[in-house]
Amino acid sequence: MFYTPDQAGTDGAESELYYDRGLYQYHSHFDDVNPLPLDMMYDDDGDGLDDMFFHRVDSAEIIYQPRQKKAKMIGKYLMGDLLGEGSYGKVKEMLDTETLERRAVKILKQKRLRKIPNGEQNVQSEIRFLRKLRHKNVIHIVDVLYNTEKQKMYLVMEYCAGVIQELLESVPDKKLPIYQCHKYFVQLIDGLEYLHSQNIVHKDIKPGNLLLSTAEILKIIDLGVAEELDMFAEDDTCCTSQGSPAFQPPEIANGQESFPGFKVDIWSAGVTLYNITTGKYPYEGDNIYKLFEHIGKGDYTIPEECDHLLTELLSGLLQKDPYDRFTIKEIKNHDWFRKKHPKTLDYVYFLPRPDEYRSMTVVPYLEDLHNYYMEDEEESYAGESDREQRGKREAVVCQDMQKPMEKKKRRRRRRNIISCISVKKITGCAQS
Amino acid sequence: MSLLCYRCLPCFKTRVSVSSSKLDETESSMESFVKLQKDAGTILEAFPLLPLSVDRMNQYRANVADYELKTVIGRGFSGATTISLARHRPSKSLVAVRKTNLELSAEDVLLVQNEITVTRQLSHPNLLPYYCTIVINREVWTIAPVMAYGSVQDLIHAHFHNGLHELAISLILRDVLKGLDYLHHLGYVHRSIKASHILISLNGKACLTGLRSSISMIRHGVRLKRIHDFPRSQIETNMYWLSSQILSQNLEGYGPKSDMYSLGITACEMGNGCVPFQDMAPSQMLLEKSNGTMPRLLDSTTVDASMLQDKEQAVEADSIPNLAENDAGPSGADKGSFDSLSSDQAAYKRTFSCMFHQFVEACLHRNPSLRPTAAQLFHHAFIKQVRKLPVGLPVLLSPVKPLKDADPFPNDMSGEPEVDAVTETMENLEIETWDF
Repeated sequence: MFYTPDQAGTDGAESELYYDRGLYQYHSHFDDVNPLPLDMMYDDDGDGLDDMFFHRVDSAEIIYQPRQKKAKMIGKYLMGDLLGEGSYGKVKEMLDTETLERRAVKILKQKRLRKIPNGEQNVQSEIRFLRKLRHKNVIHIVDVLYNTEKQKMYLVMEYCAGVIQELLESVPDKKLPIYQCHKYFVQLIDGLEYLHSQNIVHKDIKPGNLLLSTAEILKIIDLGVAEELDMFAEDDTCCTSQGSPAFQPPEIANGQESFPGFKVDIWSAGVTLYNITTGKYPYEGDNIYKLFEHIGKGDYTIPEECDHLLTELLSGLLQKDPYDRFTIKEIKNHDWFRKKHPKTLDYVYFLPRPDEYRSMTVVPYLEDLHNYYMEDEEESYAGESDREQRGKREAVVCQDMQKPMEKKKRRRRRRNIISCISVKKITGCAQS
Repeated sequence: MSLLCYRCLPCFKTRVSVSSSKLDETESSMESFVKLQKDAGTILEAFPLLPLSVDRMNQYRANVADYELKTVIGRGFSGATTISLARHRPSKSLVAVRKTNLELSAEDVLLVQNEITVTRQLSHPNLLPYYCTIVINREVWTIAPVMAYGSVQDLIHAHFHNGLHELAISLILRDVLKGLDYLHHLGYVHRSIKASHILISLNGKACLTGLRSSISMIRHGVRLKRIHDFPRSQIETNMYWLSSQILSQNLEGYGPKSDMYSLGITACEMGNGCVPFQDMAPSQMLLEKSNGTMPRLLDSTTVDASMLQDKEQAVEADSIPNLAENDAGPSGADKGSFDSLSSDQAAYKRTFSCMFHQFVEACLHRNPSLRPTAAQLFHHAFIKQVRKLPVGLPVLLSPVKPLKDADPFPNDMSGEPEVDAVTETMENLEIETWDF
């Protein structure tokens, strides 16, 4: 579906400002997104979008007109548009107004968490892990904010441009060129190696949990179902798994009581590599029982289009017996991993949504924050000549010493308060 | 022959065995090297990197006892760094010693390290060299030449509240462009070009410094077309100079052209005496930059006379005229003072040349690919105009007295009073920050 701003023609220059880019979501930091119901478009945080309305034109097109974006601050962070939605909550863009860094925030509501099995527990352990971990291929948590009144929790994380799943979905055959796959897989293995070195089994590696930063650095996210091994444990034996079914190894599909944990991640990395290189899954099934039955049997085929090195690596990763499966060291020594793959022209880029470069979505909120388009109704269609006149009027008001307050108020209403080259003297310009 | 890594003896030996044709020559240098090593005694050098020249390295050894600290002449890096004037005992000359306390966050220590490693790998007359680096306890000392006029920011703060003379700016920018072109040529993006990072030497040569936030565009041996790294640490002190490409942190990325934008902002800073956007909150500055507001020089062509009169009538009403590209109406900042008004009038009285306006406009072009490179700007009319200038920068900067360092110590005994004299000049200079 696509949205057009209502009355775009009449609004002229202002229409761009009214254009709600928040409705161009891209999918999603989570694999398990529900198709977004319309009422989700409303911000339930009550930040004033109530007067936005929809009316159905035909089944595919929806026209709406939001008034403007109301700035909402969480501490020093300014809230931006929705980035994605997962089972746990929404992910929105934020701006750190002090350092001007882009951030992503996962908004968790306690009410909703309680309904999810292990919800609160998983979130707590995820925060604990993420705080401890520091690696370029693992998502970095910047801040955790709580709002006890609203029973909300904000996990502030580094901003990423998109998720690998989204790249896959943007192309017809749902696969990426080998050069690109290799670039991501190498980083995935680096991240996994680090996690394993920190005694953490991720248990839910899949394209939907792999983000890409603006510089195309892969970031492993969602450690909600990860498990930390005991410091004194003899080996990496695990007993539970809550990961995505299609990425589960045979030992879990067969319901074994315990299994080596690190090899679970290797298997999932294997399925991920299979998926991004071929566009298919090694095992499929109409429902989870059939799927697990197939995985448990261990019969799968590697498409012929894969060259022999890739076939060799995939079969090493998708070994039925976890003890025969490759270790990270073996993967790193494998020729496909070490090979320099030729660059091809079919490189897949992110779709230009909401715009070509995935620019900040907080800009309209910033305009509200600094009162840039608080125009009076009568003046909202002001042309260039009107603007000049208003300038004169304001100058008159400026001379009116009796009403300094009013003057100030009026001044703030103007768009583009530009004091960028103000002649105001440096007050305390101590630079450092 | 170039002694690329003459500090690293084993490496040197292998080279000798390879190039047998130059054996004699090499051996002699080798001997002198060993001698040099003996002379130097224990070298505490923290970063064995490209030396500037054997003479200089010999002269400024990494030995704490060689440096007698005098006055503190500046601070930097959020107070973690102090810059002191020091006497180099063996040569009796003055040097600047930059002491940084390493009790910083790990990120900031990396910045200090980055600054030293990058600076020591570069050698250009318009980049401030570091003679040597010493690690003592929890401090790292960097020995650098004394820049007698301090930074351009100091000059603005202490003497030129309403901006420097256009020709002075042209001379400074010419030197900065040379240094910048060299940096860009080697694949570095400076990322913190600003007046406080431009230092002026006694004979009026401008040097670029402050490579703390610099970043190389070469990764894994490949020069990237664009990079996306956001300068995290110390961003608060640099963000007003940064281009919108760096600040927007999107898929577009940025490159050396970002420095050209910062150079344009620096040109405004030097011309106007204040930094564009400085009275705004960071988030508002970001908004202005992403909306494409282009700062400009303030002079009679850009400051409207009628507006000035309006403002004169409304002095008490705390109104300051502010200007921008799109919107030249009277809008206001929140506070005003008599001082600002007078500087505004000063702006109205002067007229910068058309070339200077064009120069700034070219640097601040919204589309980075349309901004000229440092090498192209070097041939800009604004820079060319000072080629045959009969006077140098010191004349243009006069009443300002430089910190004299021309061999003030003919002998040990008479050294002390001279230093006092120097200290006095320093105090007269009222240097607030000598920020690296």
